[in-house]
Amino acid sequence: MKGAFTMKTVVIKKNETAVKTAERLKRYYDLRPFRRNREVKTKEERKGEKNV
Amino acid sequence: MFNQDDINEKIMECMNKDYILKNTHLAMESAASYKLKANFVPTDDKLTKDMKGIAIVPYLPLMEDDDGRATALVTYDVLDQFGITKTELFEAAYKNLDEDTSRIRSLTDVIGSMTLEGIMGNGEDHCLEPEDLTTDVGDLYYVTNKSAFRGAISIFSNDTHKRIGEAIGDYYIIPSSIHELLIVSCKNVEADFLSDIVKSVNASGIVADNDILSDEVYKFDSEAGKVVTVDLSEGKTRDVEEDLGK
Repeated sequence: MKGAFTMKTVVIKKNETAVKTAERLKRYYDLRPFRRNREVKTKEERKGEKNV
Repeated sequence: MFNQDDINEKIMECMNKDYILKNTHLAMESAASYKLKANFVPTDDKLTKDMKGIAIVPYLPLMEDDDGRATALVTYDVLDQFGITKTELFEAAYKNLDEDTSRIRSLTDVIGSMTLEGIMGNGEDHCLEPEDLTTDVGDLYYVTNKSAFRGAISIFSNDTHKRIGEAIGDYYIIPSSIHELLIVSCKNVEADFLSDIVKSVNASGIVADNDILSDEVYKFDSEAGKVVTVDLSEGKTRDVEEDLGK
């Protein structure tokens, strides 16, 4: 009989999802690994190391 | 926005074998989350058998408007009701996956033009083809699907994972959430540092519990032509099948 099955439905609000995505991506962007990679450090960062 | 009655009405109206096979999508989710529903939701590991901690589940989009989206997991109960085999379901779902083209963007570009519309998949002008990726951009790449909803799996759409590998060689995959992945060339970073980042972001509360995909870091191994789990303890990639004694 049609409809005699159960479906586990999920409802999401698009704005909430987008805000969470923005926060997540921003966090990864801020932590992006290249800042610790010697080969791609900026001139300023290398200069800063020499001065220490 | 629609309510539960609208959703129930939609289910009663349109649910049949043809609709299910044409519309079932696949999503990645954490194996821990899947474990709770393993008795009533089928899974398949064709694409992810070497990705520790990740399961693939089938779901149906039901309703969508400007404000929200309703989906339902495709359960064994539904398969029984409409005479669909698990093999039939996943064959159709993999075909549907290839029709939902992946979207790739530089994370710097995404952050630079950060609007809700831009993040949720409408920044088409800035999308890259896998062949466009390079190793000399000091950035992460953001990979999702058209809707940026449950889009982590889109890295497998139309062999995107292999095409990226042909462009940049081996690359790491950061499971930032069930909605998207981030990738970076292995030439640009050490895996142990990535692992620290993933664990800290997942533990920070910034990722909703239901959206957490994994604490592992994965790698596309271009020689093997597949995605594997990075084994930090050994300093090499881990063969999950060996771990399971298969």
